[in-house]
Amino acid sequence: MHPYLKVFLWLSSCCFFSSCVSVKNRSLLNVFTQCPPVYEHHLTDGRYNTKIDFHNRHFSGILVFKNMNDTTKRVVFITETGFKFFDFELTPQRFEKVYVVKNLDKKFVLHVLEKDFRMILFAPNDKNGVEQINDPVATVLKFPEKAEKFTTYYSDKKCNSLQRITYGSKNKIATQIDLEKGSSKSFEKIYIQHKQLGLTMDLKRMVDEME
Amino acid sequence: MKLEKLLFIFGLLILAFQSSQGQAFTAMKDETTWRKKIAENAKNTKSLKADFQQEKNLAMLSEKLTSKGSFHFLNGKVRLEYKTPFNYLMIINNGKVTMKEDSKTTQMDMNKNKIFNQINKIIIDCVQGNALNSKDFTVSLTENPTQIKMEMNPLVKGMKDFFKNIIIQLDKKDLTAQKMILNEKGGDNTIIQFSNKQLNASIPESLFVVK
Repeated sequence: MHPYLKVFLWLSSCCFFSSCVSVKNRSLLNVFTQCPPVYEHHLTDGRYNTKIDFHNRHFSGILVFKNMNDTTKRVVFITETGFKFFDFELTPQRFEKVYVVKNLDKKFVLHVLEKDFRMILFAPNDKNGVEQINDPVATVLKFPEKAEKFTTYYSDKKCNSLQRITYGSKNKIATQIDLEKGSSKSFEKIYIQHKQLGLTMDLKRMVDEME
Repeated sequence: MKLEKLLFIFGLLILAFQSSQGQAFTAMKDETTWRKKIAENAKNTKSLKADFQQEKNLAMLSEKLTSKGSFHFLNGKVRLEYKTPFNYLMIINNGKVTMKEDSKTTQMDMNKNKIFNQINKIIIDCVQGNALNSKDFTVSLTENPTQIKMEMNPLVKGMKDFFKNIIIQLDKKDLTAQKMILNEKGGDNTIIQFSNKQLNASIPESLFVVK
């Protein structure tokens, strides 16, 4: 091959690939600004009737989500009879167990709960490597995490509301969170499934509260 | 005249303020007699039914969760039925705790759960007035013109982990509990107020079976 031709081909392919990347970035930037549900604070303060099923065990109670300030959230779970199971404090960078009942105070359990609440309470804060997946009915954004895992956010095509969050590897979804918004800013229903663990959490927003 | 009127109005305001705050508790004048009365009342209490209002205060979150329901006690069996803002039923019968919310029923053997056993014992001891004899607590009594206050400080490790103390206010007229305050170590508490109490009324056994 003529040397100039080689150089030409090399330069062309560089231009071609760099333009591909820049087009991808441009389209992602458009999605970021045009799909706010993925990036807004997902949940305002709220109380949820909660049912937890883990293998053959069933628990129920009330989950309280509270914004302490712009970055700090508290999550408290109490039974209907007023018995507190856990009280966690989360910021985008930190997780603190303010209180947890002895039987739940296991590293693995806390890790699962932290991950779930983090996905519900906080928008993704690291946009590096995010990818938009083609989908006929939804806007789908896939964020890479550690250990080749991904957190994927599904909004409706018009980006009116966040509908689903999944977490897992390329081939296997470990956690799926389905969200349903009502007339208020907060989610009316949240359904969390840990497919491999056999754990589900069903949350319904409490509307009729007495003082 | 003007001054007298002002003093009169001022006096009324003071009285109104005091009655709204509740009268202060002081050392008992005749503790031995009252202890005998409480013990006697305990022997004679076969059943109790009442309405209750429960308030769970999460101090750090400035959150108050209020619920209402009905309470039944018959020969050592307890039925606690929450009606608003959620439906939840708890029955303690023959060493078993049965919980029902919506259509889901869960049962637990109290003998396998020390804490549940201890809490159940507190409820029954309080209802029947046996709390004074409890080996799990130190109990001190104070009074005001219409009420007796029992302050129970836990001695047993399991209870100590959950509660700072439990306060029960008894109506001097019939020595039944008017108010129960469970104070937790972290500053949270649960306040249960009883109303429309009926002592030794007829209560069907079927109420203590979950259908």
